[in-house]
Amino acid sequence: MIGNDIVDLTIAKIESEWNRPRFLNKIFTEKEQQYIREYPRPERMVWLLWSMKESAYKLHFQHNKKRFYAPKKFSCEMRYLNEEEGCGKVFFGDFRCFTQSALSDKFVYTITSLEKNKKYLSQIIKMRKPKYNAQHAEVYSGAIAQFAEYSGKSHDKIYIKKNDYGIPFLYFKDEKAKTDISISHHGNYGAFAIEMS
Amino acid sequence: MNKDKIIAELKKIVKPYVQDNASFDNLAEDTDFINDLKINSANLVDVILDVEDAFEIEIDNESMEQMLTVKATMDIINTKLSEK
Repeated sequence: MIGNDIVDLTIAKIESEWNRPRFLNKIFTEKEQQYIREYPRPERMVWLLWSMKESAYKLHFQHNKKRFYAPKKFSCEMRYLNEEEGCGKVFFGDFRCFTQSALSDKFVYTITSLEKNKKYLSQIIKMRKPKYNAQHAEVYSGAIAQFAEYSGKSHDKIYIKKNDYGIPFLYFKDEKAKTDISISHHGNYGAFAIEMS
Repeated sequence: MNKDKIIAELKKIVKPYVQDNASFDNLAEDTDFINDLKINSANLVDVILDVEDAFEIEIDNESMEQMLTVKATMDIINTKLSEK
């Protein structure tokens, strides 16, 4: 199982006013608020932590199929962080997962897995088109191309289909692949992550 | 507070965050904020804060967990209003 989440920082600035009163306290634990205060670019830390929580929630949802909104309960721990990448853990009760993040001026991106140091095929795609459906297709075709290359399978027989819970899966010749996938988009960025066995 | 009044107020609150206008036009009790209105999950906290301000209530974390639909939100608003 794998979860991912991308935040387009330019769009996040327009969509969310993270420094409005009570915003941080509703979403972030005391420790996370401290990370935000102490980081030279607090806004980037807000969205980095958010992407960790969101990708961990996606993973948790695949696990137990329950929907809820409890971002504060997904508690983040940063293990390492530099200008371009970071890694950490997210805890939710007994549930625990490992995160790997990428950062830039334009986006923050996190991939989450149940195992440490898991290898992925992942790509961040700068969207050429503004419409949701076209973007969706762009991320899917990027994921299919990479999976074809990785698995040596014929690219035109691979497709991605969501199950009743909205969780996407890779298929080859109408058979579900054993390789898990996660897809995210926000604003002008899309990303996929495919777990490598 | 009666249902229609709460729904009218909720429509005003969610409008700036909605990304699916057809669903917004048909907003009803069973409307889901994320699946139907396509509200970004980071904006759901704005909806919650705006609800707190508009109804002058405080929504605790337990209640917030359920706030994915119009119906659940209406129930929480009514519960919190009755506790005032």
